[in-house]
Amino acid sequence: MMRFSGLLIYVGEQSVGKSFALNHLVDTSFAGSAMRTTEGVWMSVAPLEDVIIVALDFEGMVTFQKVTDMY
Amino acid sequence: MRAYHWSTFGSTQGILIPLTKAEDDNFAISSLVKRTNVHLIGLDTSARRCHSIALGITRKATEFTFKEKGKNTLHGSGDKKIAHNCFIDCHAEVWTRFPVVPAVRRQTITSSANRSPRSIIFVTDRDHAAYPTYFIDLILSFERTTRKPTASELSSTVVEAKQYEVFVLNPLQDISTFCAGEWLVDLLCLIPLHIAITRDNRFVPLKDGVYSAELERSLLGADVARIIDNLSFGWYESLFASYMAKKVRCGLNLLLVFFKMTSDLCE
Repeated sequence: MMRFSGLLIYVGEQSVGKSFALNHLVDTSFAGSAMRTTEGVWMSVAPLEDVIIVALDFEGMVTFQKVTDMY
Repeated sequence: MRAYHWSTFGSTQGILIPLTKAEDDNFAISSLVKRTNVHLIGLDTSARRCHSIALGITRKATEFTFKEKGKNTLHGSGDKKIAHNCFIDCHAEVWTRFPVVPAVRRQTITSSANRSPRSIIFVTDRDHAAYPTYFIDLILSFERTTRKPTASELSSTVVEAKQYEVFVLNPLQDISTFCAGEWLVDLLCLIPLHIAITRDNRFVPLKDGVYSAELERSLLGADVARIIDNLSFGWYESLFASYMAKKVRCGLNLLLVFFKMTSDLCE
């Protein structure tokens, strides 16, 4: 398992601007829920000088109850 | 005749296509040979004549829709001219949808010494002075309405308009040069990878970007190590390998947790 010191989770209902916010935060180009048929998990990468940022855009997920229980 | 795009039907006035006066008393719309050859066909029974007008549908779908937002007037020599500038206005659509200055900017191009300022050259036979002015107005309008941080990214763009003959005879100066690998990495980072789809309220990993029922079955109840072995991140695998010395932050671990949860729920 990899250890990580920072975690950014971006979840929410459709069309609230998750992909827009993620793009503006870490310089990715997620298309967002404008493409209705592409729900799921999209991954993009933003290499910096000393670290790589991996961005995951979760589209179409309904509940994260288990995650909140674990963390 | 009024035509509509399917996706905007009902929300727009459609596209008005003027027709010449015809004596036809029967009209039909049909396609000939293939579905993209659409014709408005009219039948004039008294003159025993059938004729058609071909309707050109140039693109099925566009990423950015070109809309006529009222008419812009361009004053020149006292005449009022109508201007349709959607080919320039589309730049503002890009600036709106994507960041101009992101909070964290990827640093794939490191050899910055040979970067020239962004420039756009409009090759046209008229109104050369109008292009830089219009582009500056577009930038100012965008900054005023969206309040997005732009620094000097947009205002440093060099905008020119030239005659075709002048453009052809003068080779382009100030062209940026990049290391090929860095440019390729920068390009790949613009393309998100689809690594899982949602189905029945769970995540299903994709195999090489495609849904595989066999893979889904094989990962039921699998532990994290087995899920890791079956995941592939396409071209990002090469990126990760070349950046091995760097720490990988954010979502990878959480992704594995989700796949494990999904796998457990399906048992």
